[in-house]
Parts: sequence; C-alpha cells; structure tokens
Amino acid sequence: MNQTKGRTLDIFLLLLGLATAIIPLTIYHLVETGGMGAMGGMAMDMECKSACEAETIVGAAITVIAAASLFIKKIKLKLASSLVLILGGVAAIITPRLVGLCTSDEMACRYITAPTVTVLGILIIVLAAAKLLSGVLILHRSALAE
Amino acid sequence: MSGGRISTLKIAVGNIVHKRFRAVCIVLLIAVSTLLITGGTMLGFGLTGGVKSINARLGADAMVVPRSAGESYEGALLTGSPSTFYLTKGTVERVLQTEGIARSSPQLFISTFDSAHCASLVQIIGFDPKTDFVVTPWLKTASVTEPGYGEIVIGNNVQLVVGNKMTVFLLELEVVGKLDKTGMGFDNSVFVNMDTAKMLLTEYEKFDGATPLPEGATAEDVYSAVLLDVEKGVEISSVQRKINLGFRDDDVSCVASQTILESTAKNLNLVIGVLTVLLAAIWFFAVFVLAIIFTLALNERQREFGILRAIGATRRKLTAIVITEASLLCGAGALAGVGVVCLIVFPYSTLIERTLKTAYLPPQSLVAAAILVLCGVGCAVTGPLASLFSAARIAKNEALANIQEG
Repeated sequence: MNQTKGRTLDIFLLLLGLATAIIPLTIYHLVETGGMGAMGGMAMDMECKSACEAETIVGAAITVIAAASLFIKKIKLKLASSLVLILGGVAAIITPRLVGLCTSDEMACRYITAPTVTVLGILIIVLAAAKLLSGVLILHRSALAE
Repeated sequence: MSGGRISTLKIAVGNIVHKRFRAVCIVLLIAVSTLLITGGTMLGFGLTGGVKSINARLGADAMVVPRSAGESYEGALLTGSPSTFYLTKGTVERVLQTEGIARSSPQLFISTFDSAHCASLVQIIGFDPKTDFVVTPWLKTASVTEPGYGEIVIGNNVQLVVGNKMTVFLLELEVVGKLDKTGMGFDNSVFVNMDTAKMLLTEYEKFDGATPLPEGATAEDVYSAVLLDVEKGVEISSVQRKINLGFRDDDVSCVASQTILESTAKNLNLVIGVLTVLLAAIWFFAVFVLAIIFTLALNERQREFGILRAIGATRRKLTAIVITEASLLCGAGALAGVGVVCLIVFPYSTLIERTLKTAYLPPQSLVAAAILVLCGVGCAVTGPLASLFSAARIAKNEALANIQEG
C-alpha cells in the first residue's frame, strides 16, 4: 500500500474518531437533564451521562492518535499506532456498555447512540487492521529486499 | 513469468485486477442487491413474527377502553408507546352488567416519565391476579414468578435482570421476572399487581405532566381497561355492539381483539406481499444487468479467449475462467452486502421496531443466520448464472474465429 493510501486511511480514522467523540454529546442528545416529570424544579442527569462522557474521551483519543499517525514516518511507530487504534475501536464499542446506559431499549442512548458507536467502532477496527496489515507487508518486503 | 502452471484462479484474478472499474461496478451491484434482498427478507420475517405474536398474546375476546384512548391503547399494545388513561370504577361496574360477558379483568395503564425520576420510559400495566386470565397464563408459560406488592415483571426490552431494582417515580421496585421477546408493546412494559399499580398511580399524580384523574376520583376509583371473554355461543360482535351503543355517552369503547389482529394482519400481509414481489424483481434485475455486463465484457475479450484456445486451453477451461471470475466478483459483493446488513439490522433492531410502529419480532439468531447464508449464496450465484450463456458461446467458437471476431 502506498503512502497516499496510508494517509487516506489515517484521515478516515481521524473522521471516525471525531464522529465517536461528537455524536454522543450532540446529535443524539445522550445527555438530557430534567425534562418532563420534574418534581419541584429538581433536575437530574440521565443514567447514560457518564457513558457519554467516557465515549467522548475515547473518541478524542482515537482522533489524536489518527492525527499523529498522519505525521509519523517510522514504520514501526505507524504499526504501534494502528494497534492502539484497533484497541480504541474495541474501547469505543464496549465503553458505553461498561459505564452503563439507560435501563430501557426505548431510550435514545440504547436504540441510536449505542448502535452508532458500535458501527463506528467496527469501522475503526477494520480500517486500523487494514493499516496494520499494510504496515506488516511493507516491513516484510523491506526485510526480503535486504 | 516463472514458467509454472497457470491456474484458472490466477487468470480470473488477473482479469479482475486488470479491469478494476468493471470489477468494482459488479461488486457494488451485487452488494446493493444483497443488501436489499437480505434486509427485505429479514423485515418480512420480523413482520410475520409480529403478527404471530399478537395472535398468541391477545388472550381476551374484547377490551373496554375509554373511547378517547382507543389509539393510545392500540399503541401501548402493539408498539409500546406508553400512555395513561382512565375509566372510572362506576362506569366499569355498569359495563360489566352487560348481558353475554362470561369473565372480565381490569387493567391499569400508567406511563413513566422520560426523566431521571424513572429508570426508563415504559408502560406500567397493572393487572388483578384474582381475576386475570391473560397476563397470568403467559407468566406461567414463561416460568416467571407472579409479582407481589412492590415487585415487577419486566418486558424483554427493559435492560435489567431478576434481582435488580428499578426506579419508578423515585420508588425502588424489585424485578422478580423477565418476559421473552414478543415483538409487541409488552417488550417495553412493566407488569405489576393491582395494589402496586394503585400505589404507583398515587405517586405518578404527584409529578408535573401527569394525566389528571377524573374529577373527584382517587387512584382507588379508576382503571384503564377491562378485558372481557364472552359466554359460549354468544357473538363477540353482539356484546361489542351492546357496549358501544349502551355506553355511548360514557366515553366507552369496546374493541374486539380479532379486529386489532385482522386489521394489523391485513396491512402486514399486504406489505409482505409487495416486499416479496420487489425482492424477486431486484434479484431478476441483478441477473439481467449482470448478463448484459458479462455479454459485453466477453465480446470485448474474444481475442484473448482465442489466444488462450490457440495455446492449448480447453473449452472447459475457458468456461471455468469466466465462471470463476463471475463467482469471485459476486461472492465479494454478496459478502459485502451481508456485512452491511449485519451492521444495520442487528445493532439498529430497536430503531427499526420503533420506526415500523407495528408488532415486529426479529428472527431468532439461527433463523437470522440461515437468512443471511441463503440470501448471500442466492446473490453470489447471480453472477455465474448470468455469465453461463456468454461463457458457453465463447467456448463454442473456434480459436481462429475468436481471434478474428475480437
């Protein structure tokens, strides 16, 4: 895989990381406070608030790593960043479930946000694995050439 | 070249790599067809499962509900859209004196709030274990404990397990049972006995946004619906008519279960019929388009096949090359299509159920796996099938004719 394709993968990973960080906080309104049924003006956070914040941290970490790997030249460092991105994809999938979402499947965090971050996580894993594989092939070829 | 034997696979792969744009187009065509066919088949199975589930769960002949809440009741039953509505005890007692009713049982419907005061937005269904003949049999079949005071049995979509506590109107209720998936509103419901339901209704009324009780009534004076079974030999429609005409001024409506089932089944059967025709059309369209693509592509390559024949490739070998090429491309497309279906259908199943706004019971894992495999294979064979005619024609020609025509 040439350098342009490697960079394209990094840019896609960066965008996926950004989506993972932003979607839970904005588009799907994972954080909802108060709302209907407030008693005496009391407003409390939804159960999924911590999960949302944790997912944003994971997404931000993926974005930073993908951005950094755009500028990394050493192949071994690129391999390490791909490996970390695969773990990041896994973390994006399991973090909301580990931290805890709302109790019913009828809540937006369960029927939109969780599936979306799962799909994003899978795409991150697949792209990072492709990047890792291309890196390994480059290393293998250079070893053969030597 | 290394001088080794050139395999059919090697030639097919070489051809694909050489004509990348064509290969990508074919893979995309098959991927989209697989996505539509597999997704549509899953949808059809889910809708059929939903109708079967309604048939199995509507255990009463008819239900009496407030006329103004008819749609809310059907919504609560089919899609689990939570709602709260009331029938006064006095009205219920008068309705139950109607001739032809064999047994009856009241139910109380309360919606929780989409806020931190409730663990989740669910429909609370209170039933009276002493008179109930609908909920109790399911609980027995599913070996679920009947809920006592302060205890709840949860629907399948409620993400708790037996032994957990669920916050409802700031009260902690213990989960004593969980029901199997029904594909209906019951998946998003919580079942409690009537005493717990009355206590919850009292708490519910303390919150802003609660549906107010009828004037002068307390939680003890209201129900939401009454389930009825008619006496043997009595037509359900005659009892239904008597109630609807006799209690016109009391905002009461009697709905026959069969009416709900028939209207839902009729609509769904129509949808499933249209879906089946569409899916078949998509498959035939894919075969047709691929047949054209392969015919044109192979016409362009007559010279190549002529040379292959001249250097010793048998007719069988040429056919094998074409079919291998088509199989590889369509196999990759089918695999991609099935992959996308997996990424959409499984994670977003609840969203699909909500969007459909009807009873939808997704196929169980084994059936879903069988659908994926069968639809994937069905779409993967499209290419080889479509290329058969062209492959046979190319192989039939003599080497010289192929070279000259090319």
